[in-house]
Amino acid sequence: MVIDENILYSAGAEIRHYKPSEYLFNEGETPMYYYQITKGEVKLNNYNDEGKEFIQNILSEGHSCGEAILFINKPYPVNAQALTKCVILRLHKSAFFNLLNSSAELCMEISGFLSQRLYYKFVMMQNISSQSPMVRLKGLMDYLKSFHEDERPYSFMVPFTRQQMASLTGLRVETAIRTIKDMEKNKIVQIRDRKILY
Amino acid sequence: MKTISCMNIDEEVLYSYGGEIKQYKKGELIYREGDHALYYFQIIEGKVKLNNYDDEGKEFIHNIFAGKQSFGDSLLFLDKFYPTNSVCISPSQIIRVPKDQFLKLIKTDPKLSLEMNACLSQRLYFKAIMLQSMASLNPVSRLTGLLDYLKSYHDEDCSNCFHVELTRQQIANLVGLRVETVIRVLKKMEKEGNITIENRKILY
Repeated sequence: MVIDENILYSAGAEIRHYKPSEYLFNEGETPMYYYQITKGEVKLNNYNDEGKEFIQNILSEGHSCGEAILFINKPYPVNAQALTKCVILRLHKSAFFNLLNSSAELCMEISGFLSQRLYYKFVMMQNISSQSPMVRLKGLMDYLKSFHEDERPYSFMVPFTRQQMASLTGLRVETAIRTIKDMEKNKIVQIRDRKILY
Repeated sequence: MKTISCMNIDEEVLYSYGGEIKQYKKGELIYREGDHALYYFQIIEGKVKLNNYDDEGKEFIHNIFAGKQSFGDSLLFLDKFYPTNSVCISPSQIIRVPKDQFLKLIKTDPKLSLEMNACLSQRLYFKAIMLQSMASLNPVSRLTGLLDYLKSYHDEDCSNCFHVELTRQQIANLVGLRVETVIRVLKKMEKEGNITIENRKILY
């Protein structure tokens, strides 16, 4: 949880419900709100000139969404789209900053959270600089698994579809599917009922 | 490389929180990938790159920082090891402040704390833009992504007047391409009128 929900309510946050595939905000818009997910999953994505989707991140319960852009004077560089039915707390930008100004502790927590996001970007950047699909996918799985306590092989179930994994690593879905099969052959992953265990 | 100058904390303040000046030679390592973050670093003079090497020894540069910028600060807020090395690319003078002192400073100064968040957000923005252009296998999109980002901090909005202060090798390592590819693509972009090259200088 980034910010305690009760604190958000008392600062004036409102609850919003989103249907799957509904947008919270669009690339190019001016940021107006702090968003925090109470329930559901949201993806941050953009599309390149050829219409290929790139997913920057998939966020779930307790995560905030697009908060970094509130601190800088830029339009949203990504879309935020609900992947499932979502319940989201929304707090106006000015109220969000009043809240931060009133609490040094909260401000530090946000720093920790932004740093976490930045860390993910460092890892993904390095993976994506590689042309090898195997390096890109393994890098993604290593990162995801680093939050999982059990370090044994095949103990972590990748919570994404193959299409999502492809869009997170800048690969075509066919390439992701083929590479995951190769990784199964090389005993890097196991596949059970189409689920990927790493 | 022109980016927002952050964090640029008053040097006197840093000294009063235990800051000390360190001198580094060109090529000297400040910290290594896998090290624990023990200090806040702010450049007074010089240039620093954050990099890693892949299994084949190919270098990838995450970012290049210069005077009045801090680096590696996000790791002060996390219980993780440095994901990159930091290496001086010119002789550098750097102030370093012990981690606990730095966190104390941030905690006592709400304005600084907000600035820290803005700075981290700035870095995150850069990474999001770069990540998207890097996801492309097309070298032109990768390069254009980098140039667009760098130019977005240029005050004047003009065509082919922004001087890209990076070597071709640095550009290659920033976008994960080979230097030969970068040289070829830059020539192509020049022919198409997207950039001007004067005395090997790239103007975008």
